Amino acid sequence: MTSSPGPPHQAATTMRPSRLRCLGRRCLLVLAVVATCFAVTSSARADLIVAPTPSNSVTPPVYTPVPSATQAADRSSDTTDHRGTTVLALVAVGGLAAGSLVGLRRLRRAGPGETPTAEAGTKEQPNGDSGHDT
Amino acid sequence: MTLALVLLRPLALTLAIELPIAVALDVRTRRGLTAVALVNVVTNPVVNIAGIALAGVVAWSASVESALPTVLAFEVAVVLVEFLLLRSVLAISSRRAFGLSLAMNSASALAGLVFWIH
Repeated sequence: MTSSPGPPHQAATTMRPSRLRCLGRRCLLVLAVVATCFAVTSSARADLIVAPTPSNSVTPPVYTPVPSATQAADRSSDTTDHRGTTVLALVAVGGLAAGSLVGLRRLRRAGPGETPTAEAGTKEQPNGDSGHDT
Repeated sequence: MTLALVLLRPLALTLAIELPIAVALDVRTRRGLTAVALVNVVTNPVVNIAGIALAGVVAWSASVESALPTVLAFEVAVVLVEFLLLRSVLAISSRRAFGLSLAMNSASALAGLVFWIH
C-alpha cells in the first residue's frame, strides 16, 4: 500500500526509447491511413479496374471511332490518373500490411502480458510442439 | 467500384465474420483479437490485389465454377500464412493455431462466396 512507483525522472528515462518506437509505428500507421483515404477520394471520380465478368467477357467487339486529338489527350491523362491512383492504392495496401506486421511483431514481443485465458491455456506441453518461433 | 472500395469491403466483411468466430473459439482477450484483426489486414488486401491482378490475365472470376480452384488456392495460402502468424504472435500450439486459421478462413470464404453469388 505504501509502495511508490519510484522517482519520476527514472521512469521518464526508461520510457523514452519505447516512446520513440511507438511514435514511429504510429506515424507509419497514420501515413498508411492517410494514403488510403487519399486513394479513396481520388479514385472516387473514376473506376480503376474492371475485373472480367460474364457480361463483359461475352460482349462482342464494337466499332469505336478514331478519337480526336483532344479525346486522345483526355484519355492519356485519365490513364495517368488511373495509374497514379492504382500505385497510391498499392502503396496504401503495402503500408497497411507493413503497419500490421509491425503491430503483430509488437504484440509478439509484448507476450501474453494480460494473461490471455484461451491462448495461455492451450499451450502444448514441453513434449509437444511449443508453438514458438525462434 | 474503386480499387479502395474493392479492397476495403472484403476486409470489412472478413473482419465481421472472423472476429466473432475467433471469440467463439475462445480467443477473447484484446491481444488475441488484435492479432486476428492485424493478421487479416496483412493477408486480405494482398490476396484481393493478387486476385485482381490475376483477373487481368485469366478470367478466373467469370463464373463460380471457374473461380473455385483459384479461390481455394488463395484460401490455402491464406490459411497457412495466418496459421504461422497466429502461432508466432499468440504463442499457441500449432494445432490450435491451424484450427483457428482454418475455421476462420473457411467461414469467411463461404460467406464471401454466398455474398458473391447473391
